Amino acid sequence: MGSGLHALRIAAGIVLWAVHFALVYGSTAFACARGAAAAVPWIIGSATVVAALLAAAIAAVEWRRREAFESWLASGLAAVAFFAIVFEGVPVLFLAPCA
Amino acid sequence: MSDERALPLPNPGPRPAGEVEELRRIWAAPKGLRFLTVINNNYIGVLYVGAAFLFFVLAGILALMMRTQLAVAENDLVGPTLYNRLFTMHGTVMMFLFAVPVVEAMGVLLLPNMLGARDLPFPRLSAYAFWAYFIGGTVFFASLFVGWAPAGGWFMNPPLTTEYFSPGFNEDFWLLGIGFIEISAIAGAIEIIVGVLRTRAPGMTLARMPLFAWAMLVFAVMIILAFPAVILATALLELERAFHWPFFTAEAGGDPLLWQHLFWFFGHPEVYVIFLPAAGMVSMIVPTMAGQPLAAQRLVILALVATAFLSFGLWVHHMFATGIPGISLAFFEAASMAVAIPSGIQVFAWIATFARGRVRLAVPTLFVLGFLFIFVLGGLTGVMVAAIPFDWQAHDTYFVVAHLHYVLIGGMVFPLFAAFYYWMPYTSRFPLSERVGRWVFGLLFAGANLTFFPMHVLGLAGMPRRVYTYQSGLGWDAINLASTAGAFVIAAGVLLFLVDVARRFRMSAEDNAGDVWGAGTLEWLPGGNYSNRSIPVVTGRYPLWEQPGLAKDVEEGRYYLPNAPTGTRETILTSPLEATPQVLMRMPVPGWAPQVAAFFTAAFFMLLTVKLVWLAAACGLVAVGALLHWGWSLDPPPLPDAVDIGGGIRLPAYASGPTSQAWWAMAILMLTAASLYACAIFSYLYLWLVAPGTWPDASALPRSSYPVVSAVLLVASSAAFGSANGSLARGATPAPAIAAAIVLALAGFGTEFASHLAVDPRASAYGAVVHLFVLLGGFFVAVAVVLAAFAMARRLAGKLDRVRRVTFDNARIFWHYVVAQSLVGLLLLHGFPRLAAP
Amino acid sequence: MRPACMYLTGAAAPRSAARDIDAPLVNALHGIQSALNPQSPQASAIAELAWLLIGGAAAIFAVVMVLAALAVWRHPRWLGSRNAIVIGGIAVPMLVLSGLLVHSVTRMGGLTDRGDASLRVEVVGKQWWWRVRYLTASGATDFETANELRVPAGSSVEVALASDDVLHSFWVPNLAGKLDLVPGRVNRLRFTATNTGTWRGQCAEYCGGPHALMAFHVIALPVADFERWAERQRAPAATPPPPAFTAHCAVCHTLRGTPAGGDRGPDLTHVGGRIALAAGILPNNRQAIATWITSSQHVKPGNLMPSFRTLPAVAVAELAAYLEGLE
Repeated sequence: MGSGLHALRIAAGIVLWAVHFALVYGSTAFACARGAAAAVPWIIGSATVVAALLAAAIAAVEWRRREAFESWLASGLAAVAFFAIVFEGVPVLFLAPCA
Repeated sequence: MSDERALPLPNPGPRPAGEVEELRRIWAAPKGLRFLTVINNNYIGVLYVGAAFLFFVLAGILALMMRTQLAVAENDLVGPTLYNRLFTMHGTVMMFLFAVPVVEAMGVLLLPNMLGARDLPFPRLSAYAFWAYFIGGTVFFASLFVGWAPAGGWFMNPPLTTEYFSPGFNEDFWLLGIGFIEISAIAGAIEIIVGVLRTRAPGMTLARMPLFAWAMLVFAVMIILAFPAVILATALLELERAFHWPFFTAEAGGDPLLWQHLFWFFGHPEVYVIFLPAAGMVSMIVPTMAGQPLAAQRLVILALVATAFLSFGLWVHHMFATGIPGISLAFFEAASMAVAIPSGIQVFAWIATFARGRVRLAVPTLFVLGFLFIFVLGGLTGVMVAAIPFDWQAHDTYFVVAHLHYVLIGGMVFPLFAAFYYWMPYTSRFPLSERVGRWVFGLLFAGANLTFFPMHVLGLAGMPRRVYTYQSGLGWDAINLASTAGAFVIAAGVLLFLVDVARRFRMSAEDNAGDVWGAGTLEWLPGGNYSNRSIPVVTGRYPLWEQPGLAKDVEEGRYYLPNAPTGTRETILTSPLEATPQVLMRMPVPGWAPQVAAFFTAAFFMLLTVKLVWLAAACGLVAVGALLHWGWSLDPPPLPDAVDIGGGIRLPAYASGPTSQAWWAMAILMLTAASLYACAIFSYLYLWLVAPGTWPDASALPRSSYPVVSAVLLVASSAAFGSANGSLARGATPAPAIAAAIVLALAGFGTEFASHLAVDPRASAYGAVVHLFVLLGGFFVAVAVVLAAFAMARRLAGKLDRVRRVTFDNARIFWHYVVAQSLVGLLLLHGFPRLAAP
Repeated sequence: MRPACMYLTGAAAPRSAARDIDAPLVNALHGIQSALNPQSPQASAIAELAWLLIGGAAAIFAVVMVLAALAVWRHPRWLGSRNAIVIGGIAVPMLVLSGLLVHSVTRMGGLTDRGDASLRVEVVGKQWWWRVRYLTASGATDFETANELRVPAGSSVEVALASDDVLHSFWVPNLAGKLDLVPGRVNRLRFTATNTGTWRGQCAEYCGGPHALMAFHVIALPVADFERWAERQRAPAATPPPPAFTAHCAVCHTLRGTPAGGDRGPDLTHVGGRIALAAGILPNNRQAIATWITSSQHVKPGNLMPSFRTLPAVAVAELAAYLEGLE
């Protein structure tokens, strides 16, 4: 199942982004609906830092094997995921939660 | 230019006479009335594109009626009832019956030849998807003429579309008709994914795959992930309309915003579903017209994939004005801005490609340049509306109408016209006229800008969308009149195009005008209905440019599979990454089953819409019968010997398990099901978040013995199916074990069903969503049981043994999937409320 | 006959010099329903952002088009390089978008700030009109009116938006961005009208039928005028209604201080004092009232009030005169 493994590696960045997105969106919705606004910046902040670091790590590891197109693509997608994750974490620095 | 070019040709010697004639005979389209049974991609592709274009013209006529009404203030040409139907149908038909089908159709038409395959892997599925769509779409459109057309807007927001505010069949036509057409889109997507991943010419690695194929792969995966959301949403709304399950009724704990979440979770990716294939077409046309390989091909591939996944994080930007907390909105603003970057990459890659070459200003080039102009503008206004405060003003005004038409006309219609001009010589004996084409381009370009540019101003000047009239004196009059004039200019352009098509288009796969542009990709090889005489080895991104003599070698049968060794239609299945030949796949020949199934599936849904339940049920039975008849002919008997395709390669002519195309189709179908189920889980959690008060406390839940018993029975049924697999591998009959699995699964589902009998689905959103899960569980168990029973029947008929086992394997993996999914459902329905109870 | 509308676009609007110029663009951007003619700090913040976005988009568009033209007709080598793609397609957009994200999110933070409002009003969206309830400090209904908000200029107003039928959206572009009315939720919108004047708003979320004819006005008054108006609104109807009202209208309409207590349609206690009829689409005078009573389905097709076509002309005239007098 070599192709299955390749597919997983290509998808790693995407999956990470999706998990981060679902986590920050879901937990914010939950916290705001149940009156736990104070927790929001902490949840988003920590999830964003962890996910961004992971994405950067994936991008770096795959970059070393970039001669293979699949690795190049995996690295690129992880890099895109990294920027998207950071982007989505930025607003928490500027907004009051749940307002 | 790689070393592989030096490799010897697979079949260097002269070929025996009569091979081409045999290919021609085997792949010939049926004649007379039997032409309706045609399944070859060349024909289905053209019919599909034609039907989609018909809907484009029809929806365009609706737009002209609207623009005529809005030409002057306080016009009373069209009243609100008709106007509301017109804009609902315009949007719905353009999105669901034109935009998605037409790109899918272009895929069906172009992909096999572009990839070096003889046809798509499931030609009957393409035919089924086409006919279901065409018949269903025609009936749907005809609802306008009898006053049954929906009027809820293409987004169908409840509560307006609930039965209380919209009684009658009208909204049901949308829900059942569109839900059904989405199923056809999913069928097409499965076909395209398997086709792109498994039928590429040997040597065509992922990095060498043409950009259009990449775009179609991404497109199809997006459909698989996004469309189940709208199918679930339409099911929920139909359940609310027909049976009063209050998913969207606030008084009973439902929430109208649940619909918007589900709809836009589909609806935003939908925009990129439409745009990405068009971008893929542009990435094919630009290199040809510049005479240069596409610049930064890898970055463009990265951009396609990145756009696709980021587009799943944008949906709430259609809901900025619904009152969701600002921080939640901000995630979506961030994602909406991030998604602009991949489009920027593509735009600059096209510009760089032009800069590297000598640009031929033929009509396709003009349309590409027009596309750049309109699409870049639409993209920039897209960034504007992504800025939340600005969107609070622009949302639901003519500014957004302008933006979305710039994006869709620029991003999709212009590339499509470029593609029509570019690929016409591929499918017709004559290319379209360059002279007329310049006029068509001029009219469309001027018309589109005249129609839609003023609307930006109109929106900021306060004119909301979806209004059948407006008052004079607000500064809107002159702008509206200009816009209406523009709409008629567009119409003139389309009309001129149709005239030219009528004059010049003569369909022919064999005797086509051919490679008039000097392009570099495989679809321009000479060929016929069988695609290419022999299947080439590909050593680069632009084989026709890089492999001199390729066309001649292919035509003279010097490459793989220059004949039809098994005497029927066939193509080579290759590995998904490196495209190494694996199997000689035998393919079906025309027959009535797909068409009959499509007709009666469409009839089933349409009759259900008008509440002719018994007649609908009868049609449904015929459709299922036709599908089973069709299924019976799948999995032909294995051939004893491997087949020589040339170059010393002998391929088995039979495959089961992960090498077979059927396994892939089933795996993708399971992904679709998982996406649907995930949307249902989201709905459950969402409703709980909105109205926890309707959730029972632990004491009111079914006793925990129910889910435990149900889970044990389901796991046991999976084990039984596993033992059936063991029996089959030993050569024994799997039938008793399958029967046991069926009984156990039905008992497991029955237990779960019984545990919720005390809950009334009409009483609260909790009841509704619990019964939704029961319904979904029952549906999946029923499908699994039918597949299992089908495998048993094939065993009894002697069509299932330890080698010939594709139907069994498909039933088996689906079975395990359904059991796993049901266990997740049990955890959610019985575990979650206990966990969440205060 | 066309709806005899439609004065409504001008009557009480402040006339600036620009409005008299007969150029469509100028007219559109200085209108009484224009996002680019902001009349509150909230709308101004958005309008500034809008101009920034428009300017930025125009500049980027021009640059990209020039580059495309250069590529096609001049083929400069630098434009075909990989660096050009990385700079133009990745680096520059990333910088611009990052700046824009921070800027617009900060701006949004300012707009969703919740301080104390000096006036709170509840607006309930109906198919196809607006129920307006002024609230006391404790949140009880002070008085009710319809299709018209009068607010003191210079004071902060909070509008609580609700719906008990379908989705609507409350939008007065000169004063604030739009916010939806969602059944089961209450959304809160803030604005402070800077100047006195009359602004027009319109439902901006498709709500079926005559959605196009669901308008309203916001009238910003000097504080003292507002207080006088509010005092008058609190009073019951000045005179008892004619018999036709009791027979035909009372089932849906309320006249405070009389037995008429229907609540399906607008409260008519002070209908004569409003500047428009039928959700902002007819002028408010005796003839328009009569037209509305006899031909409401023609003026606003599909609305929930039947046309009283068989009502004797005398009764219609009597009703119209009575309602016009209810100031």
